[in-house]
Amino acid sequence: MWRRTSFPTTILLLVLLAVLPIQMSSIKTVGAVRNGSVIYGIPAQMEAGEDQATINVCSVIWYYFYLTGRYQYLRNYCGSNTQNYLVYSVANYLETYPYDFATVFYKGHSTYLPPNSAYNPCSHNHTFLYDNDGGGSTMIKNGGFENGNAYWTVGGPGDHMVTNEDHNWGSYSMLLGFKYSANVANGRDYAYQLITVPSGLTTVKLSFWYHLFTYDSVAYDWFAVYVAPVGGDPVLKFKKGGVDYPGLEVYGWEQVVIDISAYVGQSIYIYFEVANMYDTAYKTWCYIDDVSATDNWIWDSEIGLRTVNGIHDFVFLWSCSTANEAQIGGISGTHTWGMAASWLKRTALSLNGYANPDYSGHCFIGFQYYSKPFKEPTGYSSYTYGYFAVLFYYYALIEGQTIKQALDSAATVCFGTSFQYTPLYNGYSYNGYLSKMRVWGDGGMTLP
Amino acid sequence: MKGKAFLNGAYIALIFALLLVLSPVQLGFAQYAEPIRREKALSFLENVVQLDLSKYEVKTITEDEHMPPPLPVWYEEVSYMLKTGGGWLDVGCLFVNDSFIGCRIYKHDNVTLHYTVEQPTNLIDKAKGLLKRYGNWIRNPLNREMELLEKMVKVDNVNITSDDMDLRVSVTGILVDFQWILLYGNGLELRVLTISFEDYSLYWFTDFRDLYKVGSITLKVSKEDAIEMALSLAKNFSWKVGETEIKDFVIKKEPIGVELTLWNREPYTFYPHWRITLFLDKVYPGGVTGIQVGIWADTGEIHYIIALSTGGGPPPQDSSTPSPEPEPAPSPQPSPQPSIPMEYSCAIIAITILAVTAASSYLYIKRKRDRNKT
Repeated sequence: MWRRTSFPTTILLLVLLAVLPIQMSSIKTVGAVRNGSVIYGIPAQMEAGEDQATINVCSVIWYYFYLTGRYQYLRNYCGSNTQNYLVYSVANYLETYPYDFATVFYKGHSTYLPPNSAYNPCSHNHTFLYDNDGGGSTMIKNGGFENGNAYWTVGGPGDHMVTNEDHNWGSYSMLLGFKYSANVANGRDYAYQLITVPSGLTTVKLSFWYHLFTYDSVAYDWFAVYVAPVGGDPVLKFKKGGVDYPGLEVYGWEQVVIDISAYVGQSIYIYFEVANMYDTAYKTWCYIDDVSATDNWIWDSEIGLRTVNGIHDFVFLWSCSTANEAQIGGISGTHTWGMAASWLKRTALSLNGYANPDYSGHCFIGFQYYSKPFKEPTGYSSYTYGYFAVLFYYYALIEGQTIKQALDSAATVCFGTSFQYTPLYNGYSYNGYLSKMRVWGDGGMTLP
Repeated sequence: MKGKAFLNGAYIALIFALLLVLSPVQLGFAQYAEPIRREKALSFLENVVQLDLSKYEVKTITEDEHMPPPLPVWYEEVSYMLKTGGGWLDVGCLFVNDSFIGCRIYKHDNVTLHYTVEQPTNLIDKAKGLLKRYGNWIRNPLNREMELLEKMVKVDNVNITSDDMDLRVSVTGILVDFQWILLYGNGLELRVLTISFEDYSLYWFTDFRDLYKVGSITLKVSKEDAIEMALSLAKNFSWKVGETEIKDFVIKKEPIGVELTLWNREPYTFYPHWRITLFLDKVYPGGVTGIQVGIWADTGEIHYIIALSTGGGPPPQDSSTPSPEPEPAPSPQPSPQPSIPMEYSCAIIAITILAVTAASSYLYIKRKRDRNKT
């Protein structure tokens, strides 16, 4: 709690602050409780206004932690340092050093993957956060075809050309198939690139967008993607075609994500083709765009492998779908799913820790479906959701309020009412999804 | 590169400084509350809540003037710690221009609540008692509010309506809220009075009836016009991700988010406002999934237009040939604690000095002024 400070005391404080070592990590007190706090954010993956808001908010939150003087490990990794390997490493460090209390704030993008899908064959929902490099790729070059077909090898009897007539992002895409060229029986029109998947990576994903047009059925014509290790056999990873013929069927633009982690340390061909098989009837063509091979996702299951001692007690993920209805997640041996279960290493959390705190001393805040942008106005005066986040931490850290109280206090300023009357608590419809902020666990806890 | 780093540092320092100068960090360096506020706060606890203050050790913990960023709302808070055997109450009472707005009462540890008069066990009766005593306390009976409350039979999620006022009661776990809302037609409404109980004891009371004003309820812009204006504006809208400008996007025909609310254009004075949210057909660079347009409904003036960079989108499309789940990688060794980038260090020093200097100067000048006054 802030107290009135006399002027000489203030001067003393000023001098002390100026000469104190900046890095709080250097403060070691015998017998003291060790607290750690890390702030992550991915401004590079955001629209310009939101990116600045994210940088500002993360900086101020960091500063409030700093002002407490109680966090021996305190880092603001918002920006280029928000990388999956660093998140994993820091989580592991805070758990095993060991610290007594660790807290995480993340502002960015995230997605949950339904069970039994290609890149999530697990029978549970899995969630990943994006890192600051997001969908960018260092493995695939010119994946958006903005530089013509540079780095790509193209061939076959079809169109195989870079075009601006259709695209997902940017201005260009690669057209494969037989839109303009005459059909050739058993003709395969293709584009491929040789990449090396560096050793030491954990989860590597191949992602691309496609827009398929076909008059034929998948038995005759298709769009397919193969991964082929150098000197090895190609492995079919994706195949799409029409249900029937002769009517036009259109698919996309749609994103496909394929796990290629099995090829870590190898050189592989990423091979796209449109095949016109057996006869010359009915045309098929496909645009592809935004091809990337990335290791940019921060997986819940990977976090769960590091949070071995349950040290992370308060985690606030300001991003989408990290707290979907009753999706706290689960723990089975070393395998975890769901951000809450993976970070906090527990599943017995109150589903409404604001109204019904479970007094477990553990709290997770996330969003059901879409999170609110920081720069969106709250609808009260000129406050934004970014201010709400800042003020929440101000009241929690500087005023020493509980999570619930800090939510109320921040809401009082930014909405003119307490938290339970805000859209964050009651929900807001976004793109057909009822979205809201979820507080799981102990809203009655205070941050040390 | 070093020059660039320095510039970044200076830039960050400037942002910090601006944020901090406007931020509530300076709250602690505020002036003493007027005695009248302190008296009023204690009087509310004693006469309205009926707390037996003689059973508590009452300690004033803050008397702050809040100037939250970005400025327009100013309120004062008087906070008390009421200690008794087993725990304590954290009480914060809000004032605007010395007018009482409300109180929050948080229970800590196993605090015992001591009342001067035995309290009813039924929450409806508790709310009635509070409303009646509050009316007496401010010498202005809340008859309309009480009439609606009289119609309640049991504590449940209900909505009781009169001509121009709603009483909405919601029950969530141990929280029970009574809200009185003024209705202005066309869905425009303003929450003016709130009584909330947590586990059968009062924890939130606010009365904005005299503070809030409605500047206009005229709808110069209809819902259809607002949507049309938003669509038209969005056509020429673009946003940037890094240096790349995104202006090629597709707006979904439906759904379209439409919200008409009262929004305080001036401090405490509300005007009708359309908030139109247009959703895009997919997640665009920058995580943008929508465009939002704010329009003042009484004037037709555009309030704002922004790209909504939400934190993600729907799951990506499935692939047809499942591949194994990511193999857990061995945990890396504890990393050496990475140092704070130089630009942050510079920023921290600059900010600290700026913030403390600003705050101390403020305090110093304020005190000097106060001393001169006396």
